[in-house]
Amino acid sequence: MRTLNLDMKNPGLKEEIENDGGYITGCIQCGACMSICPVAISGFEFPNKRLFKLIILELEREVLEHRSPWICISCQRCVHVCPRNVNPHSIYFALRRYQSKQFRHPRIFEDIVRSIYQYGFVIEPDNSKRRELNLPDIKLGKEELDEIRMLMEDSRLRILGII
Amino acid sequence: MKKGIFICHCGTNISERVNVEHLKSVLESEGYLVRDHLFLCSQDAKQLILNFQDEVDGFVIAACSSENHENYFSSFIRKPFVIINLREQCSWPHADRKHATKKAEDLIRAGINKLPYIKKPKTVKTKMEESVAVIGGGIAGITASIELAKLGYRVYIIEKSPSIGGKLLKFDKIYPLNDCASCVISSLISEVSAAENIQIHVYTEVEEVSGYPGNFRLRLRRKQTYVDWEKCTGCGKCIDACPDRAKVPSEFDDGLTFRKAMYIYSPFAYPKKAVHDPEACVNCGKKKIGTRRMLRSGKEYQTPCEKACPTGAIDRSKNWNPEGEIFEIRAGSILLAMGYEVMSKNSFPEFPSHLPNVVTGIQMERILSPTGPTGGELLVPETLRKPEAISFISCVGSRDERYHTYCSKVCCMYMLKQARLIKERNPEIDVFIHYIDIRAPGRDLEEYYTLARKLGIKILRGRVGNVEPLNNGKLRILGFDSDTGDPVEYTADMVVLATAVELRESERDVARKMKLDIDSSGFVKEKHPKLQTFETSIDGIYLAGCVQGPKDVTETVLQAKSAALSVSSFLGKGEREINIETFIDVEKCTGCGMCIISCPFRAITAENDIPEINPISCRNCGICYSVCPVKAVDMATHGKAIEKELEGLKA
Ligand SMILES: Cc1cc2nc3c(=O)[nH]c(=O)nc-3n(C[C@H](O)[C@H](O)[C@H](O)COP(=O)(O)OP(=O)(O)OC[C@H]3O[C@@H](n4cnc5c(N)ncnc54)[C@H](O)[C@@H]3O)c2cc1C
Ligand code: SF4
Ligand code: SF4
Ligand code: SF4
Repeated sequence: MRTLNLDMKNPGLKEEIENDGGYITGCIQCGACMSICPVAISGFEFPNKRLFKLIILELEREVLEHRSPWICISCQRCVHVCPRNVNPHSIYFALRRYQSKQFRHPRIFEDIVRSIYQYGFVIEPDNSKRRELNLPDIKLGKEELDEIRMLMEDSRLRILGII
Repeated sequence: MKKGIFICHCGTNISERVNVEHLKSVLESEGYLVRDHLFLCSQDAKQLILNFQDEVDGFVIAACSSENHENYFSSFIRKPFVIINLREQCSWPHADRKHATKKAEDLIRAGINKLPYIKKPKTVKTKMEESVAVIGGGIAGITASIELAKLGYRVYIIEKSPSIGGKLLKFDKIYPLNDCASCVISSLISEVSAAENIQIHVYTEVEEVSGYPGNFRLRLRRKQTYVDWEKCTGCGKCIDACPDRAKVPSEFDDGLTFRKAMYIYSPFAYPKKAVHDPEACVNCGKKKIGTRRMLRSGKEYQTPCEKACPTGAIDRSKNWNPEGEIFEIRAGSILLAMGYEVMSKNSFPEFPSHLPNVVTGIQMERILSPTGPTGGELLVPETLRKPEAISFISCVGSRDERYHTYCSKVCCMYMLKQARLIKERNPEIDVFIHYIDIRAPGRDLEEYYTLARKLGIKILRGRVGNVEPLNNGKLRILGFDSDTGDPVEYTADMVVLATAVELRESERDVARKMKLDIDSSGFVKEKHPKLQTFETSIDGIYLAGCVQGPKDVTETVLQAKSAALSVSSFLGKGEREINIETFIDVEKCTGCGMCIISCPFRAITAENDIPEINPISCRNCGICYSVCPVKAVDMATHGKAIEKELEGLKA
């Protein structure tokens, strides 16, 4: 446990998350979103409401280091239970974008993105095993791969230099 | 003589611990008529009792405290009856069923023994005064007075400060709608001041209360102002003349500013008249209070304030009379509306309350008010600079075993209000609220709270452990945020302590003068916490507003109007029936006078050594009965009957 220094705030953080992800100041810290989040239930240290409070307190440094946004599986259950219409899920994604912009995303995220850029898949497809099992190869045609690459190049990932 | 014994189960309240079946069979076998009922106070139990009205000579009602339902039972039972308390005295205090049942049986037997000795009290009628004394001129007293005046009663408002209006005059806005507090109270003030049958006595205190319901006598003390209010026009020239040296903390600004020895209570005081405070006076004119100084010309020498007054209203040669002017009023009913005070910030050693930048909620109200020390501009008291961060700390002295265990009820909401006013006017100021629980029940209050969050007020759950003064005049706040689970710290320019709402000892004393009870939280106690929330244990005396416990304006007004209605239904009959329970058999009396000196209510007087009890002052306490050496005093139900009851208990 460390002391949070509330003086070290950046009002820009709350503003940006709010513009991008929704009305976070509506959060009353009830914890309903945590109660049904599968990732939280399965034992990850995943305190959504803590993260939301940190945003409300405008504590950028704390928020930037937080790994939770990357664990979200987008099931959207939280969206249905929040009594204040906060849409925690969209805030999570706004946070991912916020962290990425400042290169505070997990390293593995870059590896994944690069892998997609290179192969069109999250991992490099290994077709030898598939052949042993008599399964057809998975492979993207050049056209499809180009399309994916084009989309990615058009995104912020390029501006950020991740691809 | 056949006796009917009716035992109540009170749901399971009684039957859980008292074996009713056992009592029934034992008593029935002795020839008594015994009946039991799940709820003896219900309508069908009433029918049951009525069915036996002709068959028995008296009833023992074994149920709950006579406080609860004695009036109810006496409304339809025509035969003598005794109430035995099985609930509060047997089942509730005793865990052991056998023991409780045995005690219940003993008490019922005592009741059986008492029954034949009960006599019907005599009754007399008295006429009631058609007037009401309202003590306290805040929103509670004012609202009730307006209602009562409309109903045709003569109303006396007795206000101890030099102006009516109470706390609302100090506020800028009031939740839940953030409407203008002054406008709310000012229109009411003009209504009471215009009402013909309302007389307002400001700067006046209650010295003594005597009499009885329907005919109270109040001895009042109008404190001395040294200003003839008939002449004073409220122009304020005397205040300009009064030197700066004669300064004391202003009551209206709760010590944030100073007033002089000559002062007008507030910019919107009603009545707007000057007061001279002899304790603050520095005698700048070298003419001590109560003395005259003649000039050589034979004219009287005048002090600066006397000289400044264009209407010649000030007279310092009047003798100082600490008593003030004593006068008396008569009132059929009394309404207590003495409001509250918040605890002073200096009551809390854990906060650096000596610092000017640490203020109470009421002081913050003054800072935000356009009539306040900064004209409503939010400035840090010490530096008069605009603050960057303000910290509110809730439950200071409330919900705290060391001070008051109760919740002060209005602090959450007024902190949110003040925070909102700050944030709405200055969005760039950081506002923090530290709370234990936010309590915002009631109409529009939750929405108010939600809006506060959306405005970006930072609301932290957890107590502040320490507020440290820093070298640069700022304050370091060390707190905890249970949402994140971390200790927090930051610097603020100002700290607002939401100190507890409490009743002052002086106000409790006024209540005690009327023999009213004070509850464990220190407020004046109502008769019943649910059903009689503005009645008191004494008929004809009612409560309104925070004198009974913390309340917001909505609740205060609601209670004030209800109390006014009760006063009117009490006085409306014009006459009152009084039960005379105690009488003296003059044949037996030897004229020793013991009863006279022992009566705490001075109800007994004697002429030619023949004592007489004034039924109106007598409270049936029974002391005269117990001291009379020749047993000349008798009481309808509290004398011989009680002796017999005790005998029955011993048997
Ligand atoms: C900081 C703060 C902010 C608040 N803001 C709000 C708000 O926004 N909205 C809301 O609904 N409520 C608010 N409240 C609550 C509100 O102040 C009370 O509900 C209301 O003032 C109660 O009115 P009252 O007439 O009972 O008491 P008061 O307003 O205290 O009036 C009592 C009057 O009785 C007089 N008096 C006292 N003792 C005697 C005596 N012995 N003899 C003669 N006269 C006497 C006093 O001088 C005073 O004039 C706030 C309270 C606080 C502490
Ligand atoms: S959408 Fe994400 S944050 Fe919401 S419940 Fe599902 S996994 Fe949890
Ligand atoms: S469910 Fe909604 S209000 Fe509750 S903690 Fe989650 S985001 Fe906040
Ligand atoms: S100068 Fe005289 S009239 Fe004016 S406020 Fe003072 S006492 Fe009243």
